[in-house]
Amino acid sequence: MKNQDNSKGLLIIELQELQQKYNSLEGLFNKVVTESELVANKLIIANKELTYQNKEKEKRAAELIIANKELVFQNEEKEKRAAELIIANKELEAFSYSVSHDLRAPLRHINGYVDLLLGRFSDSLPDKAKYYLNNVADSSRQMGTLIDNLLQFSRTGRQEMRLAYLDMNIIVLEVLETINLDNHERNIQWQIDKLPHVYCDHALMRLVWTNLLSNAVKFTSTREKAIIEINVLDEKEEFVFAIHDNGVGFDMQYAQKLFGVFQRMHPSDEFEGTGIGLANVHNIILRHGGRTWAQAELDKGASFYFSIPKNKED
Amino acid sequence: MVELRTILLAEDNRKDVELTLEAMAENNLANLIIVVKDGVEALEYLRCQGKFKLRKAGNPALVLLDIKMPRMDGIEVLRNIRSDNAFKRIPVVVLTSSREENDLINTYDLGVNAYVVKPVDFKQFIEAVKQIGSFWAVLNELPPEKSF
Repeated sequence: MKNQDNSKGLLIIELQELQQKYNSLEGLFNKVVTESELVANKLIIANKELTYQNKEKEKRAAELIIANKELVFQNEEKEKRAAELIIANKELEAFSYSVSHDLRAPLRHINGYVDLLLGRFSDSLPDKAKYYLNNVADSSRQMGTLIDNLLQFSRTGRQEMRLAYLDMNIIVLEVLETINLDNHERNIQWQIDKLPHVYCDHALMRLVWTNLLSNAVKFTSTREKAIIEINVLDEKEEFVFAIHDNGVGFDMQYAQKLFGVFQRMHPSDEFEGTGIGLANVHNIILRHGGRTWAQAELDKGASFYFSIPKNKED
Repeated sequence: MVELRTILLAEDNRKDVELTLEAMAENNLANLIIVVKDGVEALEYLRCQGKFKLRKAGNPALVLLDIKMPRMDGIEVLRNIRSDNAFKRIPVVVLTSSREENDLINTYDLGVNAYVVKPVDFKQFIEAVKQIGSFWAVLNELPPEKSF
């Protein structure tokens, strides 16, 4: 009996243990179920997220394709524009050349006949008639100069550039020799910095210096002693050249017109010129990848600046 | 006495012709100047054709050639002259308003003897014509005719 009781008790304990195990198993099971439900839910969410991301990616890819096409189109447009610009430029140059060329013929005729008239019939012409004819001759000569300058302007625009590494000191000296020859009666004090070597076209750069230096000489002609300085600034990516003079200067109000074709700051009776020199300078410097600007005050001298990029291979 | 030699002037502009003749006269270049109005007439003169059918045969001492001309321009005339055995040695001087680089290249490539841009100033024009006339029609030794 005792044994029976014993074994009964044991059984109960075992049963209880089993019950407990079952309970904890059930708990575990429930936990697993909830966990796996959670995981499943998370998976569903993750899946949704992935699908969404994939869709986004596809959308982005599609957008990228469109953007790419747009870029290709824009590039093609740019190339088309550039080609059109080149053609338009060439046409403009050809036009300006042919205009100036065809203008020369009638001018030559006016000159010729006025000359013949004055030469052959001078005796029978009243003084007033001679005066008129001389004015005609004078104006046609002036127009001849304008046309020649226009021709030169058109030529510097289309002339092919032969770039080389050149000593700016030598170019300036060459130009100064000619200028000094023409102005030996003037009192001019030149102050010239040591200049660098620059990657440029020799003939065109000479023209730049010729224009700028003869301008400085011209607009200081009313000064007893002209002082003309040439400086250079060694910047990171470019050289900036400056020409300062103590001449008549100009009103900065009109500075933006300065480098335009046929723009003048002074009446031609006071200072000769056709207003093409600085336009030439501007054009040439632009072709070298540089900039031009000026600073002045009326009656207090002028400073002209141009920059030339340093050769990137240096 | 300087031998009188013919100069063939090909020029379409009446005033340019007149002024050139005036300049020649001013310089006492009493040469016989034949004026033709375009390239076609210039070749007719050389070949004794058309209105020049009855002229005395022989090449001019100089052809003074304008470039811009109607019907046939100066460059075409020069090409014809240089490719014809009977005319290829005739001195040809271009006298034009144009300093166009292409014209310079083309005419020199075709063997032009000189290229002169007509000066706008009449005194300079007279001087230019004088130099051309006295050099090519007087000083210059002509090529022997008919010995190709």
